[in-house]
Amino acid sequence: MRQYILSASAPWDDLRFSWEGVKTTMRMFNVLWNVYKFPLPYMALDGYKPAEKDGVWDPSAVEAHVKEFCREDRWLISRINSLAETVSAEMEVCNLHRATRPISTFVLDELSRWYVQLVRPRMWLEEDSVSKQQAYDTIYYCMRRLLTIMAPFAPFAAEKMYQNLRLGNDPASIHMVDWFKGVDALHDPVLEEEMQIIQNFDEAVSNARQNGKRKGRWPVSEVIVASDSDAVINAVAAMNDMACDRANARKVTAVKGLWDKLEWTAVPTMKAIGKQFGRNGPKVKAFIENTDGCSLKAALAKDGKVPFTDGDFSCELTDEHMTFTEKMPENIFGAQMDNAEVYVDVTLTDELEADGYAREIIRRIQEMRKQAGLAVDAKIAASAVIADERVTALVNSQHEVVAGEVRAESLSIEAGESGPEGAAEWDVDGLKVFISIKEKC
Amino acid sequence: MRLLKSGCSIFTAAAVSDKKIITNYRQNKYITTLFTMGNITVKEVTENYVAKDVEASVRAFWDENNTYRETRKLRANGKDWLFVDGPPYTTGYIHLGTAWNKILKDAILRYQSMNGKHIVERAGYDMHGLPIEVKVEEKLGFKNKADIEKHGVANFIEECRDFALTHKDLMSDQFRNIGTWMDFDDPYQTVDKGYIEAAWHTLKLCADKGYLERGSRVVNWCPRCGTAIADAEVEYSDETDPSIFVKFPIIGRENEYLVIWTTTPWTLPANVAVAVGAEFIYAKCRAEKDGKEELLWIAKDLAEQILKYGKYQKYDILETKTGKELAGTTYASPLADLVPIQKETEHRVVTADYVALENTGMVHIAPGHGWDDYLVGLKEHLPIICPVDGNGNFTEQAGIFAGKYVKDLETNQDVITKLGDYMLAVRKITHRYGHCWRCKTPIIYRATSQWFLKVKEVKDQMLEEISRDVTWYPDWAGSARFHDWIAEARDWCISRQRYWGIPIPIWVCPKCNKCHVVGSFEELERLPGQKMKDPHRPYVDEITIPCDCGGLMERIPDIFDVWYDSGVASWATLRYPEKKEDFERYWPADMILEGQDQTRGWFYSQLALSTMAFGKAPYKSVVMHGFALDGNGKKMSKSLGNVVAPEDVIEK
Repeated sequence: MRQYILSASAPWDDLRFSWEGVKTTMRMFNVLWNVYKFPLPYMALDGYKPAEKDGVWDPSAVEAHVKEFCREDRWLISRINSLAETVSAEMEVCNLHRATRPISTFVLDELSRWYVQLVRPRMWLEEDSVSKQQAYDTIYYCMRRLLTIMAPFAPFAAEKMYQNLRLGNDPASIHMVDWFKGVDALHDPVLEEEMQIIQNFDEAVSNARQNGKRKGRWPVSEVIVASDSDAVINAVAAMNDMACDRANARKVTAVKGLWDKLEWTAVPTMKAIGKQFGRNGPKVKAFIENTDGCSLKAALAKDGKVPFTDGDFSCELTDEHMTFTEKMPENIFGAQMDNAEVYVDVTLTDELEADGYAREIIRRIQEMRKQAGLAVDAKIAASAVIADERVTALVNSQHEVVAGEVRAESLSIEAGESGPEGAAEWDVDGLKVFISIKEKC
Repeated sequence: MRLLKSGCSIFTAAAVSDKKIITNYRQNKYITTLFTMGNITVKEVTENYVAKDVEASVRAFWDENNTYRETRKLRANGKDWLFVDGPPYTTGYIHLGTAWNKILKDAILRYQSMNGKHIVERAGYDMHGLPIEVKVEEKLGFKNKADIEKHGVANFIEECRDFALTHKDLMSDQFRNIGTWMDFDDPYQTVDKGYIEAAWHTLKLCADKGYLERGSRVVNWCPRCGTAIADAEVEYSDETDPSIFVKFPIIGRENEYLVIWTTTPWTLPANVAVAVGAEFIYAKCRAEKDGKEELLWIAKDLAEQILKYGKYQKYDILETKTGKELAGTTYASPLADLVPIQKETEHRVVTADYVALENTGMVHIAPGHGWDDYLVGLKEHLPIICPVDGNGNFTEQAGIFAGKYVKDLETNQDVITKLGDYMLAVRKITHRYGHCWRCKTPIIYRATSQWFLKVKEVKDQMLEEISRDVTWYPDWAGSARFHDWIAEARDWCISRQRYWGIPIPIWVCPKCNKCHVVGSFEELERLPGQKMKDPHRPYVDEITIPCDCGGLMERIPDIFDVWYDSGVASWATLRYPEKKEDFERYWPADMILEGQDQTRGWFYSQLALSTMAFGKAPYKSVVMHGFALDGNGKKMSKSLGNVVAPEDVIEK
């Protein structure tokens, strides 16, 4: 309740109470709680110990070594530090609403929706992986700092989580911890901006896929980002692997200006044409409509005018006389983002299709593993019966990948109308798949 | 619980308990040890977030470990930081607005504590005053003061005290439940002996500096509660009243009248003058109606309209005079034969600069019944007549109207009827009228004997303090709203004619009229040599002090305006004057935080008393918050049924 009340409005404005607002705040706490508990089983499995000095948590282990961490870790560390700076500055002038709202946004959009998605796969890496260790360090650091700056506004929740994370000689209560103002040196505005662009990109790709009815789990061969902004071009280049990963695309290409594969159709502006050319108007109209839109657009871009002659009538046409409508090539779907356009090629090749189906099967098996309560690294024997021969062949081409992902020591993929006794029946995009798993000790 | 090594499946562990572990996992209660450090273990968590449960478990943790006090102890060597809690009234359960208030305070206090400040704070409660008296009156079925006296004032007081203490405990529990870290075990209470002594000591400081004054003044008066109320306690709403035009006969002339306008016919028995605008032009109109002629003085530009109201058929103007020229004209009251005091009083025309060219341009002046009237009365040395008693009824002085309740519709009607032929026209008007904020009864203005603090004399100093020495969040809270309020401030009437409050420590000798302000309990017990059981009424009323003239001083019966109570909070909470060290070390307060309604309330009363008693503002910074409204933007109120209780929100 406190978080809701404090963020709803500035202290000096009247507080308009709404149950909707309360629900949103509850959602934020649920999300935060899930983020808090999600890494714990992995940390448990690996016996992770946060850095300490005489039983007191030592943040310098992260802060002094941040340059060694990978991009998304550095980004989160930068974000939590700038968040702490913001919260501190606002509290100094009693702007409690301006202190609490960014915390809510951070938890929902940045920590949960973005970072946790990026970091999840790293939690499944092998024990001595440096990347995994850094993921643990980063998320522990972030939680400790976040709880500190949340404590005045959510004293119960912060205390509860802190009690489960604190080390032996850390202060007995979160409310006894010294305030965290943020370390300015850890604030990397360039990285934050680049990441923001990739987040925008992610949302745009998601929209384009929706338009093209290609679900996120199905890979695409290419995504084009067309932009006039250098910042966007550079970000896509610098963060290319993350962009491919987020878009689930084999390739992400940035293009300056307009994308040349777009098809344009020219539409004559009759008002201007009629006024200027009178009885020659219909000739001009026909010319515009029958000429390739792309070449007209290119000519206008180059010279600002297009000459037209028919018999003894000649004139020069400009953008006064025509407008252009965009036509997507086949299988391309577009969406807008800040300062750029995104184009997704949803063409489905066999290889992509195989990849897609394989992932669907992997997902179902992971779900069954979780339901069975299996440990993260438990080995299984798995079998899948697919009610389609062609798809079965496609999936089989990915046999090793699937087996590796689900930790199956043996994996059988066959075509058939029904599965063995006790198998779970799944619907994959209208296709029946029967899957059964058994633990191998 | 078991310590895990990586690569080891949980299911390879001990056989029999495996099944239990699997089942527990599925029920979301599975727990493993993460790592150990000393005797702290970090656990994996699989429960979902249930706010209620988390809060209950954390509250239990805090209780067990005395965390609130330990946290304060931890920062005891930090920079001093005094926070004074604005005391809520102990009349009921907390509502969303009070919860919001405490939540804001708690967030700031926790933040400051984490930043190393040594926080000095106590929760506070405002436990006297009319709100509680009215609640107890309701409970006991009393209608007015007479019922209280019959029941016995001591009994009534004890009921009030009990009511206040019970609700205080309820509210403390509620505040604790929402996690407010303030001292609710030892809050400051306006009913406590030490607090009352601080109030007395403050009055003595003000009196010694010459700010205390006794005066007969016109004050806002609630006839039902039977007491004066402050400007800030008057609420305005629309009322419909008669709008009448009356002819006052000029002495020494035949058939010649002054025409005045009023919406309060019941104040005519208290009329002593007619005010005109000095530069306005007034015309003597010879007006004819049904064959009869009258000579009527009205403002020239307004005459036509007024004569239309009076249904005159034709008129012409015989002569004109300015207001200045009219001044001094004597006239008689149309009620002279019915109201003895009117017969005895001389009436004349005076000029006043607030008269507007509206209605007739002539205003009837009753200095006992209006603020502007009162000021004119003082300037022109007019008699201040007020033939109305504390219950709002006419006294014997009002002759034929004696005993009638002035705000009854019938009373106005009666006066209108008794005016007979002197009435020129009767119309209606809807206008804003003041009501008592507690019982909603329409107020009247009444000239009474009251005690005042001369705030006007420190107005400029107060303005300087708030702009120079106080930081406001937001900035405009201090520079606009509050500034304007102070600039308009009148002297503060601190006396109330009620029972449950801090008694005013002024003793007066009935023989020689000498006054004495008592500043401490020690002084009170020393002077008369009587032991004081309890500084409240009626116990304190029994104490008499011998006067030099040989008489026996008695305490005035009045109690303090309840805003005076909370006005001394910032030093009373530090136990001053009983204990001087804390006051000298920590005061003034580093911060206070309250709603915008306190601009005319606590921000103001504290500032006034502090400036008079100590010469400076009692706070260094002020944070102001708004009101809690419902989803549609309406103020939450029981009568509207749109109240959302904090518990409901927590339940969800």
